[in-house]
Amino acid sequence: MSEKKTKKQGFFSKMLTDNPVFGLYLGICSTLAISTSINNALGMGAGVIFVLVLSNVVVSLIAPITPDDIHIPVYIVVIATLVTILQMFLNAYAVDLYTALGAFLSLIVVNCIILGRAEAYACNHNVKDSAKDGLMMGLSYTLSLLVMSLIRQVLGTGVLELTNPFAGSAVIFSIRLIPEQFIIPMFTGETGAFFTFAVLAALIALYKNKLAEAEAAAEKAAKVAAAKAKAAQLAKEKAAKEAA
Amino acid sequence: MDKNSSMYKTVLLGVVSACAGLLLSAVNAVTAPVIADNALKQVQSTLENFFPNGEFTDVTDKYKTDETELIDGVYEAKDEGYVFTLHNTGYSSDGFKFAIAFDNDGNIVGYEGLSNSETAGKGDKLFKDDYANQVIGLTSTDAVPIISGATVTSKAVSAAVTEAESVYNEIQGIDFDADAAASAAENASAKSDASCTDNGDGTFGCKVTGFSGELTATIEIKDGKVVSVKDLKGDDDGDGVGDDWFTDTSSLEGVSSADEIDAMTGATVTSNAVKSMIQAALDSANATANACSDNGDGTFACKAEGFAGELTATIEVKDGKVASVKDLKGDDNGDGVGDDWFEDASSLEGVSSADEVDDLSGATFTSEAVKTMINAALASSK
Repeated sequence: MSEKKTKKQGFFSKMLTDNPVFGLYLGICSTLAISTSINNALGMGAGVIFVLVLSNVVVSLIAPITPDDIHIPVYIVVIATLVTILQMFLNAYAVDLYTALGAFLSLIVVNCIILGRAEAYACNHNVKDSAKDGLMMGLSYTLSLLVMSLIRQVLGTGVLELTNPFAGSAVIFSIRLIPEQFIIPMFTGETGAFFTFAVLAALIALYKNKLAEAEAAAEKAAKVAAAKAKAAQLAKEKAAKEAA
Repeated sequence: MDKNSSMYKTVLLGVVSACAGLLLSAVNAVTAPVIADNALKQVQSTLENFFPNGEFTDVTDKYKTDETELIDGVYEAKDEGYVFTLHNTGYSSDGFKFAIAFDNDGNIVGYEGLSNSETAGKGDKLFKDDYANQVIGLTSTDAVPIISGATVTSKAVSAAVTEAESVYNEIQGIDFDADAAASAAENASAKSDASCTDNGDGTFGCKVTGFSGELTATIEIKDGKVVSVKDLKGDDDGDGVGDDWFTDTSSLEGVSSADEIDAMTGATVTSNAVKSMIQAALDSANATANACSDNGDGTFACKAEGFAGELTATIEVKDGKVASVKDLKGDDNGDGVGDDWFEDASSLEGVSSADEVDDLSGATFTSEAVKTMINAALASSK
């Protein structure tokens, strides 16, 4: 999509099309594994935003002084440090979330989104833009996780539930949407994860295709209009010449 | 400095790593105490079961090594002892967790199952009070008993306890040979399970865990020797191994000690079970025979081994019935279990056999001791 067009896109539209998970297919492992409840989604999303924004900022700061051939180890050290700090804070102040995220917390280090954005964007943009990109990517990731978790949690357990990880899992709300006899437990497992992911990815691809078609049609119409206008202009000049 | 020189690259990597390290240690300094506190809080209630009002410190990092992978946590109760939280995998692949506490004198003072998914009625026995009572009171160089019929779980628990004991004994400077203790436990296991009830007429109803289930028999003892073994039956009969025991128990007649019994080849567990039943019956008979001395006035001064020590009582017998039980005292009084016997022994009045006495639930040993004394008094009065 052309740069001009993307600037006109709405905030949420952009989140769908430039989505790192469903658009760029990055960070899928953690998405599939973690999205079993909206608690996990929010927790993981917040963690990824934290790491993504800070790593983008740090990388954009040190990129100018980092020679190309050692840029990967340097970026990885930065990302790993940030993730370890996050781990320590969660382990101290939100133990339940820490246990729920488990190994996937440390796997944020190798979450493709983070290294991917560091290499593709942060290293050749200024701090402000890098931070903004990190935030946007993080929010898109969180949104993707939330949508997947919503579907998987409601279909798989029938209950929509949110607890506060900072207050010993105190329940904020818990609503049963589907009676227990009708739940589909498959959705809380790996099969359900892939299933949900596939359907959502297909829907987003459909949306992107529609947008691309609309843009192509608009461009074509613009071209036709421009050509018409130009032809009309030429005809006008010709008439003026002949009159003279 | 030229950006592409090796010197520059080395320095840059070094500086980045150093900054990362500094930042991490700063965060660690802030969060580590909080994390330790959280971990401690989670086990706090378990720790307090063993040492109420104890001052606990988490010393896991100090004592846990790569070789002690079954140990989850080590906690020191200041001036009182140590608690170990352990895990292992028994029969169920989900594993189990339990805690064991030692005092500073080398004794096991606490044992509690925390979570398990072992087979109900078999492996899960290892995590119930009966087993806990067998473990509490052992020393830190003893191996814990193996429950037959729950061998896999028992061995797993034993392995974990041995690890805890190794660490504990090292802390306290006690010599400990883990392998010797384990093999001693396997030998001792047969004896620990058998139990007999005195029928009051010279016969004992005994039971023991055999190879595939419980074995029961009625054993008649006279003058310290086995007179007969009747009705030996149980799950092991018909499994094709050790069945000869069930068809002919005459080889058991006349023995005055289980050592005189030959085990049946190929049926070691069943043979050991039979032997331990015989020994238990002989021991009970012995205890009953020596339990009371005649005071000559219709009362008997009786004694019997209770749970925590010896119990004594003066039992009056009239017309073949217990007329009164006075001065029942002993080490079991005040331990909170079976104390009802000490407060009110009137339920014993009028019984003509220990069978008529109801056990106080949760106070099996104490009740058995009381019954032994009753039987002995009644027998002596004849």
